[in-house]
Amino acid sequence: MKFEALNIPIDPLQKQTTLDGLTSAIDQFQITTSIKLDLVSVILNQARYLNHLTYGMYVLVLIIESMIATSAGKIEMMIYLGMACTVFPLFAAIECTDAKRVDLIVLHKTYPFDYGLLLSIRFLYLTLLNSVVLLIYILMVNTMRHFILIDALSAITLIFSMLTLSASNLLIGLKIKNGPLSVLISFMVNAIVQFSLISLLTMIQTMHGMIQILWCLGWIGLAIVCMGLTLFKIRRGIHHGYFSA
Amino acid sequence: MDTLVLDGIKKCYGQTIALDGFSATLTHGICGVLGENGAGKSTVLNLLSTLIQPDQGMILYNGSTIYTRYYQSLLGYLPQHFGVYGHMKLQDYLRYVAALKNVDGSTIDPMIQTTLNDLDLLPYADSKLKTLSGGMRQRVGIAQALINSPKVLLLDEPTVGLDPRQRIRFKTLLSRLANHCIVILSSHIVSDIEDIADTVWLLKKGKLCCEGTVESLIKSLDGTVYVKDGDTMDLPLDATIVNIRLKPIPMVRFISNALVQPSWRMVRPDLNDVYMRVYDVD
Repeated sequence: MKFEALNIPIDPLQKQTTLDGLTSAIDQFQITTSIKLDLVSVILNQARYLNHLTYGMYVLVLIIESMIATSAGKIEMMIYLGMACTVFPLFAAIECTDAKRVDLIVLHKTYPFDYGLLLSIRFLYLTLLNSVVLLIYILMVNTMRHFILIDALSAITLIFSMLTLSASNLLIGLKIKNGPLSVLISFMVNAIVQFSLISLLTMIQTMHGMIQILWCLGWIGLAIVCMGLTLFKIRRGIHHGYFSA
Repeated sequence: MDTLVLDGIKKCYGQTIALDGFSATLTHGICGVLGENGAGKSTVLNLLSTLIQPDQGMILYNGSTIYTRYYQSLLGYLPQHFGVYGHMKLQDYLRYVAALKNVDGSTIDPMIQTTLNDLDLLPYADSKLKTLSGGMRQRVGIAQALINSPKVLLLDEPTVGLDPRQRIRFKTLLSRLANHCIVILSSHIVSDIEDIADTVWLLKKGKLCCEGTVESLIKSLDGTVYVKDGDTMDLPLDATIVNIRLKPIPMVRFISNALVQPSWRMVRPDLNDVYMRVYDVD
């Protein structure tokens, strides 16, 4: 572990804000892991490409799920959701460890930007996009049966999510200088995401079905394969010196 | 005067030693880095760009470690391979990079205009990056390195893909920048380095085997570079063949310390001769 040797930089010219402290803590936490921020960056720094991929996957899932959504068990559905949340970023990670993506990340690593902050925002951006698509999915599935209050709440959440998403995307482009505002936005985004998930789980209470179990097992298998592939790619990245081992 | 000091740098990738005991000091001006594949050129640039850290030794900029955001804000780096966001327009991409490099908001737009103008990219300011040709993309890479008016400029094979006119334009720009900037230029095109570098590093198997001004390195071969008509059959044992020309008349250019033969014509050495001599001797 190279924590001491790395001599984490504190720029005397830069104002120390609460957010700086937070991101510095994130940095330190990441540095104490063997792959520093790089694994996170690989997954998150290319949100645009991740989104293309996850959208594609979600659309596929949406179509299949819509066809069999009439009978799914609560537990199975939760497992499915868990797997979905694991698998999509892993797929994306595989995509992002391609040489072209790594070339992009290399340049970013030489910029003096608060990398932890950038990644945090992009993580939220990605999470939001995923949750938006999940919400659309749930709304579609639920609309097949009956309209309830939770749908309306979800729709409102969706709108808020999209608005906040735009804001966080804008912040990436403009570079955040206003720390407290970004923290506030992060909290808001987090709250929305949490609420969305609760709404989601509430709506899938009545679902059940054997086919869903098989469906979930399929996702578990896929997740394991993806994890293996991702680790392999990361090892290759370490070998080429892109990541500090 | 800014200084960049590399002191006893050692860097390994697993069992492979990429750099071993590398020490050098740089001030304003252009330093050309030459070496065979695997000599450690990219490792030097990766170290100076803060992408990797040495296993041993120190790198200091004006007496302070380079692993700070302050140093990164002074850094311009063009990797050999770099990615761009193809969906972005050129000036949007440069605005994005400028923001990440802490360029003051009020100076970003003038800076973008100047940089685009310097690199002859102004007509493409509103073009999406994915629509640009390879040479133009290379200039975009140079532009992103220059956008923050760097104090330390690292360029890995910057002239790859540039046409002769752009190459000349770029070398002129670099010469201008070198008055107030430390420029480190890695290239396989020896003539590029000979034209503009103030000092040259020749790396061999992870070590700095030769260092000096272009003039001093060339002067070291004075009186040892010859051309002769014909083939290579009767060259002395110590000869390093630099060039063989077959048409219109077969001719060999070589370096040798042997007794001059009547058929040899002494010629003025150049950096290419130095390069060939250094890497011919084990």
